[in-house]
Amino acid sequence: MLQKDRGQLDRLSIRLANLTSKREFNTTWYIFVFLFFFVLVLFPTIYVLGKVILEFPAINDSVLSNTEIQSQIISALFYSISVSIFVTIVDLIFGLPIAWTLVRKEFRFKSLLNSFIELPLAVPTAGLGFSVALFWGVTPNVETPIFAVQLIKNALPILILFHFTTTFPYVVRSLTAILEEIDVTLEVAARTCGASKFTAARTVTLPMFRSGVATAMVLSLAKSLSDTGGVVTLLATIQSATQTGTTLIGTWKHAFEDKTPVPGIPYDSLVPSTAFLAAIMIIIALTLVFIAKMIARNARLPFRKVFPSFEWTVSEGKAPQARQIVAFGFLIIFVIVPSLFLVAYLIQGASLAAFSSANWVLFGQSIFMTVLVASIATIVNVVLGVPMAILIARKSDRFSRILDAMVDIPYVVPSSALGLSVGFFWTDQSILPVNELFFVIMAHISMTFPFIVRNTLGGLSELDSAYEDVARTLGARPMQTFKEITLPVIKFSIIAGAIMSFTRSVGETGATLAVSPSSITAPVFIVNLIKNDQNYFLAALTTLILIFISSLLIFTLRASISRAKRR
Amino acid sequence: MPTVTLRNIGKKFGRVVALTGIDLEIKDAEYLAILGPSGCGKTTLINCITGIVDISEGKIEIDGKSVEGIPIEKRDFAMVFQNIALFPHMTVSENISYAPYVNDIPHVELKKIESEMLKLVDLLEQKDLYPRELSGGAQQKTAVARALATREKLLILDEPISALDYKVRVTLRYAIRKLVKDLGLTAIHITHDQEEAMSVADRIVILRAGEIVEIGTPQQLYSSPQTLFTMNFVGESNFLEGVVTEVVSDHEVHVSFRNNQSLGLKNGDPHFEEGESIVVAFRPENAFISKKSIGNSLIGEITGKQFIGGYIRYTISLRTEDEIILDSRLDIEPHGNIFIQLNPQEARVFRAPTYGLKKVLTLE
Repeated sequence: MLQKDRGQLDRLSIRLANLTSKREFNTTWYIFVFLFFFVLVLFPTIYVLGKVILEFPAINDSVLSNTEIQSQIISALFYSISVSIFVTIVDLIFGLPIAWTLVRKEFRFKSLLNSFIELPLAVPTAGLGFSVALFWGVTPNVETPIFAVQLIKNALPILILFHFTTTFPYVVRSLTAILEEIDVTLEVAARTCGASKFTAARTVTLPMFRSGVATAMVLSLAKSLSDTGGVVTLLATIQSATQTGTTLIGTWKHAFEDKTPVPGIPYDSLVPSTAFLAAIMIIIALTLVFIAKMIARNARLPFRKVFPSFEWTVSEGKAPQARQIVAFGFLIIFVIVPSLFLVAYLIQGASLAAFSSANWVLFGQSIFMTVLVASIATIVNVVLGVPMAILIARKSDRFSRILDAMVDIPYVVPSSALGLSVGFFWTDQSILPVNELFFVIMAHISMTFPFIVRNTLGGLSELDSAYEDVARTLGARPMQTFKEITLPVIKFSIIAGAIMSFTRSVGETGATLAVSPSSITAPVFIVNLIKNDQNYFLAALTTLILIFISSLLIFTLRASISRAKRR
Repeated sequence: MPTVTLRNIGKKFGRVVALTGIDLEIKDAEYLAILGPSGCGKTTLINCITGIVDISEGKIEIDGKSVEGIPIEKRDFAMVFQNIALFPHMTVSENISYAPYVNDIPHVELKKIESEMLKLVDLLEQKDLYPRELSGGAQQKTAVARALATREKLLILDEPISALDYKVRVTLRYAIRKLVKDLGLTAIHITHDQEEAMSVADRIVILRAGEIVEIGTPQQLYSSPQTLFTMNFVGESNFLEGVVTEVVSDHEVHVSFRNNQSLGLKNGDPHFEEGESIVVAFRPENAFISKKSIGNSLIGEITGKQFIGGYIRYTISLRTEDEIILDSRLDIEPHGNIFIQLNPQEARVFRAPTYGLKKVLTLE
């Protein structure tokens, strides 16, 4: 009986495989994926560029003739650009030795350190900004734990300190990923030629490492240009009125919705100004990323000449150890401790007053909404991102290369500019009736789409397409081949992408605020608590719950991957 | 001048013993091959000499000086790697001049060394190409030139040509040996290919499961191996298990096999006693086949016949229930009984191994 059932089930699955392997089915499906990507992911994220060009006369009238608007934009851009460039450079300087040590050395706390590096990724940036401000900043309104540094009053230094925590984990991760691919015998070969360890690393590994450096630079630049929620809570906690590009977008958008006047700016100029600023932010982000890629691809070695005796001294004895201590010191003092300082605050600052005045209903709603949005966005992205990745990986024509380059655009576009752009797109169209929740979900889909595609592509590059061909010669239909050969290999890459997409969505503030200021997701709730209600305790608690959700996912993934690898 | 002395080297990876009790003396200007099946510890041994891994016990001396604690780059040797390990982002010239470059040799001299090396390995025309644009043979020549440009007198070659095509391999191994001899270098050459070891080396070390089995010149190892393992691993051999029935003199024994087959054989060193189990080993070319009945021979039938080129290879089923291979220039009809006589100078008699013949002959 049971066997008969099985037989029927098998026949059904074969019939399904036959159906889904039909040429027409495939073509239709791929066209749908393309349309989805271009029309619903890519186009909305840069829609604001077109809008600015089309409505340039209006912008010219209201924005470019108003010196107050201009000076606010210039000041905000100054902070955004200078911080992101400086942070990227410092990240690379300290990230290289750490990545090196993590890949090439064995030491006792290696796996612990590996998880610690990823920890800041699990903290929603809104909470991260608050945590960093507590540790480094002078906080007039918040009582801080005794061992806080309590030193910084100005926006620029604390913005830099904050962005170390958001970008450094990405930099180290992308550097280690590439470094693991580089054959270690090349360095050994260099050393048999008489090169010291430092010389070998500098002349052999580093030049081959360009793609890793490029990825690290892109991630760091994009991330630091993009962050909104963290910057808002950071600056609110130290009571600074400074604006960066992304927070200014949020502020203006909010002022427009609330119909609250901004000093020096006419109410009618708010929308064109915001659109203009978002367009500039997008252009700046794309330009910086392009320049970073060019530099990484074309830069020659910084020093052609070798200084044997000097490079000996930095390779031997105490020097490498000192270098490691400095690099890991940076990681601990500037990244890990400030990220987790929130926990110290929670333990010390729990007050009953904060407990009783809290809006628990909103608290629950915001967390529910965050998980809902992140889940829908992630599911949609997995269903549509995986076929896209397969198409890019397996059809190597010019079209797929263009697609490959375009997939990253939603990642590079600063998230509040993305949110604003997606909002404009859906309000301007009149075909579909839409609501605010739909806006938020679409913005999150666009923002996290690259994670799934990139990760799946990474997994696919591990799988020799010859295996798929072998399966096909043995009579497997394309869909069966995918299910039985391809999927088991790329499964973990897809899950990893899904988790990155989910955690990114859970932590996102800027896009949500810009697309719909009235939608309260948990990060927005945190921002409001800190900025308006001054209920720091509840903000910290909400952050902790989000950390818990994200890290639970990350650690489950790590455990299941390592279990699968042992098999 | 470079000599290398290994005294009682041992290496463990955790609980796994990779090498034990390695004693070896490599003379100046000697071409030494280290030969063994894969997993025997060849590469580990080389990694110990070069300093890529630390030894667990024993002592290594290069030129009479202990190398303990000296990092790779300060040990005086040049190395060619199994996976070639050319720097992919540098041209042939840049790869070759890497050693002078990292030692900050003045530019004029660097260029001199570079062109000298290019000429030496005959790559002048390809000097501006990148490694991926070269054939396998040219890549390995570049790797050899890069190693030689260090001007070290000790050259270590870790399976330098095993990944290449057969013809290229044959040409390159002669070229490498000639270079080493012309430049008066000391060379340590690792390989799992016995033919390669025989054709390049002055002396061969046979390694098995982390221990030295035997050391000797190619000729010694082929003609008068001291162990069954060497007999089997170097060249091809037939093995017949039997029992000593009579000790005629110090150098002559009578041996009987299954089904009442027997032979009188000369033997060298080990002195056998009556009733002792032995193994008779001989190379395929060291036996004579006859259609007619001859004395002191084994009876068998031809079951396979293969034309090789200069000779014919016969597969023969002996009445002793053994199967052997024999090479002969004679063209013999494969019907009926044949008689096989062993060349008394070349057939070797070994004491039967305690744990069985199979166990001794396995490569791992």
